[in-house]
Amino acid sequence: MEQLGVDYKLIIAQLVNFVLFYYIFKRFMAKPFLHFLHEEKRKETEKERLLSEIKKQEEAMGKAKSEMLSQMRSQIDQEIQRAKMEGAKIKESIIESAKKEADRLIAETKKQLVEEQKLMEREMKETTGKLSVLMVKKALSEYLTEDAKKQLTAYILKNISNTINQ
Amino acid sequence: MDLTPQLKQELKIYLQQKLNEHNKKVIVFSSYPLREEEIRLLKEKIPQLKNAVIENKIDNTLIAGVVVQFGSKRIDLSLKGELVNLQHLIHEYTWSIS
Repeated sequence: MEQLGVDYKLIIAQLVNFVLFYYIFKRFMAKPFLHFLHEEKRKETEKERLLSEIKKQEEAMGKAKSEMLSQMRSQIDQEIQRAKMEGAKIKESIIESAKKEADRLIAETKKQLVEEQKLMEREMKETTGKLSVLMVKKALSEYLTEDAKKQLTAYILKNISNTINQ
Repeated sequence: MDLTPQLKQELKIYLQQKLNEHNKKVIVFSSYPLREEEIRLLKEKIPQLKNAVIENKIDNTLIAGVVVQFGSKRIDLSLKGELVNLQHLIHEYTWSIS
């Protein structure tokens, strides 16, 4: 064995060293170290649990938010629809009343036109009558000679009683 | 103005006389001077003119015929009067049919 380069003393010393190391490590370092490792593991687990909780809460909040948003959207849409309908109703009623007013004005104007037309016709007839009488008067004044006038006067005087009785 | 009763009475009588004179006076309007014959015919046809004093006035606008005025009464027998009546008739007719 010495020819192979193996030193028994060294091996034994190393073995003893190892055993000593193992004993010291196990007695003085293993526990705290393991405790430290457990502690770290526990912390890690706790962190993960907290993280997952936070994630869950975030998800729940996100869901609630989107639900609220969709509710608000549908409410807004309903309100817009209602307002549109109201607006359309108001527009219709305005158009209706404007039409009625226009019809009323047209009827009144027509009536007024008819009245004015009648008045104009009446006045025209009267003016025509006046002019005709005037023309006859003028014509008679110029056409009748003195003799004709005397004859006419004599005729009138003869028939006086008839004229007065009428 | 304060009038005494006597003055009032005399004024009344005076005015009555004037009125009577005015009523008795007859004015005949014609487009030419009327002859005696025509005036006589007039007096014959209208009894109120029998004892009246007739004054003949010329009015060329009458065209023909006469207008007799005595007091407040007026008898229109002229052509002008007839034309005026016609005009009134036309006016009444126009307004009655429309």
